[in-house]
Amino acid sequence: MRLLQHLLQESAEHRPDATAIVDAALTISFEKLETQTNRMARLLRDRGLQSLDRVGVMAPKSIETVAAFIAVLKAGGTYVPLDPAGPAPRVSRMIDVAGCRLVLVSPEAEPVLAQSESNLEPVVALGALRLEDMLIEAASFPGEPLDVTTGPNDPAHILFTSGSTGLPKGVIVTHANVKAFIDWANPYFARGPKDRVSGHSPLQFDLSTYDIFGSLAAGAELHLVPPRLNLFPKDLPAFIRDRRLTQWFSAPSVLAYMARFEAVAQGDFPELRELLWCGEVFAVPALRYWMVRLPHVRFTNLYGPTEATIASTFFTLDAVPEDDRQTTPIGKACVGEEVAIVSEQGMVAGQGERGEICIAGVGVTKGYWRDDERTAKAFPPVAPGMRTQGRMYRTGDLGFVDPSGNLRYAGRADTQIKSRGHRIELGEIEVAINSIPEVAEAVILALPVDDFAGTEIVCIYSAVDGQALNDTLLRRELAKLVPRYMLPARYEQRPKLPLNSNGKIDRVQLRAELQAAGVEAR
Amino acid sequence: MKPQSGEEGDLEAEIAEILATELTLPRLSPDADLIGGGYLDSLALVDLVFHLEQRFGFEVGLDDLEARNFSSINHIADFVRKHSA
Repeated sequence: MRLLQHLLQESAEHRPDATAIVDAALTISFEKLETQTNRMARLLRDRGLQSLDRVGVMAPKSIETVAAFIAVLKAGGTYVPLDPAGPAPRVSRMIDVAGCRLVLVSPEAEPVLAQSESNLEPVVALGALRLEDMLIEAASFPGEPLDVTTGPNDPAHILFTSGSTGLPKGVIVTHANVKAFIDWANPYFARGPKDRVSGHSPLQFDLSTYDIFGSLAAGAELHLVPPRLNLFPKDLPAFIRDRRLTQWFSAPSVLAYMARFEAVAQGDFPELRELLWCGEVFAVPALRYWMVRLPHVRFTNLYGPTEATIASTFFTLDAVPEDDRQTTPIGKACVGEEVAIVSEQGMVAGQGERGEICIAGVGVTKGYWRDDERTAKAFPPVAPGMRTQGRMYRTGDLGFVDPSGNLRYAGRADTQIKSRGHRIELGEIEVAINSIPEVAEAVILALPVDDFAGTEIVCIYSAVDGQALNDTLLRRELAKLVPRYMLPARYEQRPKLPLNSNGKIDRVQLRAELQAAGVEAR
Repeated sequence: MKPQSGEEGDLEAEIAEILATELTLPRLSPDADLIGGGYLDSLALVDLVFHLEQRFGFEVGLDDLEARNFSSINHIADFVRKHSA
């Protein structure tokens, strides 16, 4: 079996001059990308990088950042995408947890790296290398492909997800995991050389791995979407029009945002064929807005956590939903995957019976980097009655199979939430907020809102006696510890938080109070 | 409430107050770059639009949602003046 970098190599052989990637500033052909990444990989080997070494890449979404990912793979390494916006303590923990020996960094991200107190793997720390210097240095190396000893079951990348104990978890995704998804998805979406596809997801999230490697495999053009276009609702539709995109893939929150401000015209984006979303529920009123305006487009809901690679189930709508209260099924398993509802007794549930959504098959990753305990817990042997051998991933999502045989999502079993496509453990925010010295007590609650964001994060806290603390100060301190998408939208200071009969903070009461006060109905 | 009465600067102060209390942003100078500085994201923008519409009684449309109207407290104030005059 081939490795992910071979998808590029083949497209470079078949259509060397075709455009591979377009970013805000530049365009690169398959052949140029192939030789450029070979040179960069040789430079990495020359620097002392060895097979299976982890390399952090901390740079904004651009051609050179994607090239750096591919170069790491070609050098036999595993890339670890890191958010160039920080915050520094979180990025620093990720570098440590992944045991990176080298971090490739862009000028924008250098201050964040400088602030972080991470220890690069002590064996032979290769330190930090500026991406722009790397490109210059790499020019003196030959552009021919390298021989590496890595195989399809070796890690391609480590992607971090929010962890309930405050420490992000690094999911180890192999070449074979990603390749298996592409083998299902590219034929299903008929992704080919004539396509122009979006690269909307941030590069730290696994949707981006289908954007990148799915388009390289197809010989399609990948159009990296600058994150600043997410701010004003007119900007993304203008991008889709200007680039004449044929396929769009994102979290549904940005689509709902465009719908909220009515930014899509009737019959807009005439060349768009496929629109797919993943990561959270696409509210039906917004979905219907899109489907009514774009009758020429096929709409597909994908479902699946990072631990089982990109997506594990799919549902293509055959008609515009009639009822706002209707929910969209998450559908059926992608080829090579088995998705089962498992009861509390650990058995495959009967039709209609609720249970935990569990995933087995080609997408199941190796688990969490250097965390055997959590890996064993989340990736047990398959439940009796499943046809796949080996391990499964317990998603923590609840679901059931409806009478038509489609899987349906029915909420979470724990305190993980989705906000604007980001997966967030409320526990991670609570751990961060409770580490602020001025905070006496704090709870984080997620309330459903009738809005494009779907869920609003609310913080209720009390201050240590004698400390001057207010919402603004608290937000500023918290922003140093967690990424912006985890920051609560609302804050409420109280002299003391209510306790329940077990002596714990009474979340049920607080939630009821907030809902009664109409935060939800805002 | 009509913003055009009162002295120059009152409206700016009122908008600074909305940003600080409703959006829990730090106290910012009237010409601080809200977009480049990373203070406004789509969630915050929706919140801000909601409060501007409530407070000043006009509707913010798709074509108003542009960087030139929202890039600083001064620009937001100019935008509000133009719409509620």
